[in-house]
Amino acid sequence: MIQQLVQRIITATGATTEQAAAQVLTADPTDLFAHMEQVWDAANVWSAPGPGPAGGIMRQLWTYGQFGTFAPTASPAWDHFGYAFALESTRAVQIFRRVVHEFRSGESLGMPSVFTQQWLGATESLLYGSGGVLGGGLSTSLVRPDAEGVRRNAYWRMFGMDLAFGADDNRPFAYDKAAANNGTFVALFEELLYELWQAMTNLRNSSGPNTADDDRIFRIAEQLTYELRVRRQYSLLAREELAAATALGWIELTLSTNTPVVIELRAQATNAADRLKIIGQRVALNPHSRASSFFEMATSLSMLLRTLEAGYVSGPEFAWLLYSASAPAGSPPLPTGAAPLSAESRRVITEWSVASGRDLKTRKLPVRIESRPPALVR
Amino acid sequence: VEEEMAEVNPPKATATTAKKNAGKGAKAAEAEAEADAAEQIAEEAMIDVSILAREVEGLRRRDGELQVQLENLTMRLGSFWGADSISSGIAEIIGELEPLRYLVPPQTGEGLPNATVRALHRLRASLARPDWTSVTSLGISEPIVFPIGAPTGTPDGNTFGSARRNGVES
Repeated sequence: MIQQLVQRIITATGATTEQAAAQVLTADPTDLFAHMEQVWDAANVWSAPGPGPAGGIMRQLWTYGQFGTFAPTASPAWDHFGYAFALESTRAVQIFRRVVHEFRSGESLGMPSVFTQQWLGATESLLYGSGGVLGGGLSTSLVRPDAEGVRRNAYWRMFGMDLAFGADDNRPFAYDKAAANNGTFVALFEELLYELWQAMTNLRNSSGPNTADDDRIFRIAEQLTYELRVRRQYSLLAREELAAATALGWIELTLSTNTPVVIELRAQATNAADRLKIIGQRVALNPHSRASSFFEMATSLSMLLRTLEAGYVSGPEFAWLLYSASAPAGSPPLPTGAAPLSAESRRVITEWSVASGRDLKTRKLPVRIESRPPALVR
Repeated sequence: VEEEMAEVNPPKATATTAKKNAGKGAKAAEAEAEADAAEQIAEEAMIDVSILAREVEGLRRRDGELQVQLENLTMRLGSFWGADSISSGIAEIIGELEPLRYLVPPQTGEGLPNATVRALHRLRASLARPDWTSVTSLGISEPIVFPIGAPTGTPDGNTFGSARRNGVES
């Protein structure tokens, strides 16, 4: 939601990326909460009758807010859980928790500037549970007080995956692991990525065997659609997804460039992963060793999972949407901005392979050629 | 001939001659049987030879037809492609077909339904984000902050920092 808000400010006002990002990073957290409710209302995931699910007070609130004029025209204007999972896998949330703790409890990291103090206020509100009355949208309460636990619970239910690390003191992280979860998601998803790679390598193939299998791509995509949707019946977990995308979007925006807080932490670098690594060293908590891959694939993974969940690949004849760079010859061209997902799929294949350590471009076991035929056909 | 003559004019039978005649009769019978067998083999061989001759004739005729067909094909290909041999004609055909391979679409896909196209367009629009590749910093300059309670303002009269945030104009 955060990066999308920056984009909407750029589009609506003609501001530069730097100016728009500065507006968001120095915003009053109440304005951010109000806009979050505005985004939630615009999506109207419950198909509520009338204008949307938001109440009268909240509508008044975002009207007076700093970002009230930047309502999304297309919805839902937040990233998929996959985006939050990829970014949270870098361990950025735990590292920034220590940063906030150090700044708020002493001066070991130096004196925070005005910008950093504003950033600290928003960070505490968006990520670490000081949302107050307006923080209801963050999906935390006395019943589920830890926002990280709420997100881990959602990752487990959607993907059957846990983060690769425990709490920031390396103890196992305790959270509610639901019995109903998509335990086969990873195997299916990796099989889809393998098939997509086969199809990509055969796009220009004019002779020899062609191992692209559109029907298999369609069937795996369809199965993934079923799995993701079964956890989303009645738009379940949508609110948690918005909260997760907002929290991790805030982290991503902070690390997107050499923001003032990054500069104050003396973590200037050329990419988000390196900035996080230096910040981690400042607070004695190393990020995930594959953090760079997680940063790189987060947005592509979001787009790919949204497409799969939406079920756009409704038959083998539409499998090209996931691996081709353009619509097939003879079909009407897609409108501007509605390009196929070739680039996103490639990015996910590459980075998922690096992050998981599994080569998705080859089979785990090569096809074995028997020296003699099986007994039944002898 | 002797045997036939003997049958026509049998000699006077004596014991010795009878024995001699009996021996001669057996030999004649054997010879007759052998002659019959040889005659039969010769007849069969003649039949086989005639069959083979017919087959050879057919093959020669077929060979002639194939030769004619081959010459016709060679002539037709050569005249069509302006070349003299089959191999050069085939090579030219391959040369003509090669570029057509790259005109084949990469997959037999279909255009997305209109509703899906619109949904995909909305999805891209809703998740649009800024490009950070050329952004190196936000370029924010820190305001000058005065201690709480201290006189605010700069020599040129502008107000900064805490005074402005607190809504206090100097």
